This record gives sequence, C-alpha cells and structure tokens, in this order.
Amino acid sequence: MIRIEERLKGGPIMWNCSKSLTLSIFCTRLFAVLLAVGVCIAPMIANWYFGSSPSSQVLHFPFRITIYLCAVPGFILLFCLNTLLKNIRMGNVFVNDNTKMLRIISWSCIAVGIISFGSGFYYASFFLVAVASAFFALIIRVIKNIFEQAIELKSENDFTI
Amino acid sequence: MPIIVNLDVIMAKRKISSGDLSEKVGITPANLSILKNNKAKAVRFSTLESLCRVLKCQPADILEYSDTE
Repeated sequence: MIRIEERLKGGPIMWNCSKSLTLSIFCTRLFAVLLAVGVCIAPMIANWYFGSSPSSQVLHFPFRITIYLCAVPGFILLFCLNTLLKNIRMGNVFVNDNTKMLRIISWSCIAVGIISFGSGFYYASFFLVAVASAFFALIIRVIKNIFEQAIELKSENDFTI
Repeated sequence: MPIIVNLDVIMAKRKISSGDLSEKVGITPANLSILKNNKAKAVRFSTLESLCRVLKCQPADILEYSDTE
C-alpha cells in the first residue's frame, strides 16, 4: 500500500507536472489525428450515422459539409492548444502569446458553434453542439481574461525592484 | 510615467559604477538597469533604503515627480 507521504514526495507513483504536460500534449496530438481521420472518412461517418435509406440520403451531403467546415476551426484549436502546452513546458506560462492562443481557441469554439447552429436547421441535434461550443468558448474566454490579469500582475512583480 | 528616477545623476555625482552599486545595494545589475532606465513599476522601501544608504542621499534625490509626460 502506498503511503500518503510517499505520494506527496513523488514516491512510487512518480506522477509530476512534466508527465501531466506530456499526457496533455499526447492527447492533443491524438485528437488532431482523430480529427484528420474523421475528415477523411466523413462519408462513412454520415452513412453510419444516418443509415443508407433513401429518406436519410438527403442529410448525407450537408452533414459532410458541416464536418468539413467544423474541421477547420478544430485544427486551428488543436494547433493553438499544442502551442500553448509547448509554451507551458518551456516555462513561458504568463506570456502574451498564451493569451493570444486562448483567444484563438475561444473564437474557434465560437466558429464551431455558429456552424453547428446553422446545421441545426437541417438536423436539430446540432443545436446542442452549438450550445456546448458556445459554453466552451465562454469558459475559455474567462480563462483568457484571468490570464491577462495574471500577466499584468506578473509584469508588475517583475518590474518591482 | 510622472515619477522620474534620477539614479544616474546621483551615481555620477558619487562616481560609482552600476556594477559596484548593484553589488553594494544587493540587487542584480539587470534590476538596477530597469530602475535607471525608468522601466520600474514600483520600488520596495528596502531597496530605496539601501540605495539611500549606499549613495548617502535622501529618497527625494533619487525620485522626482514631474507633471509633464
């Protein structure tokens, strides 16, 4: 049995910030690969999701268009996330570049939300995706605002002699 | 910023170099450079006290308020 003191000291578990970052970077890249695969097999996804009945065939094309359109902000978002994590790994946490990345991530979520909202008119479930994206965008935006304040405080601290 | 740091003037009067001053005051040369170039956003009382002690001057000799930008 692992004792709590050993856990706090980074004993047998040896889970630390660096490994957590590595896991986050790995997950980000995995999602990028999954997204790329999703874009490539979009017709198959549409076929699997709606079935191949003649009545549902009409939804295949707009569904594929939605996937392709959402993939663009999706890739931008994952690229920014990767850059953000790389900056954090290099020790550059409270820098303006990270605020910029968070801003782009937030706008990417909004873009996905808008595309999903538009797609909701042919398939109502997309309205849920739109709401979820807008909510994510809001959360990221709040984090971005916190980062901006933190950068300001850090700058003040750095320039206090 | 309306607060002007006249550290270079006092340093010239006392004929002390940046390296010597930073060593005697106990701050890094980089921080002293920030202070001299008016880039500092705040000065700790302890730093000001050390500067005044080493340069044998008053805080008003180092800091000056100016209305013009």
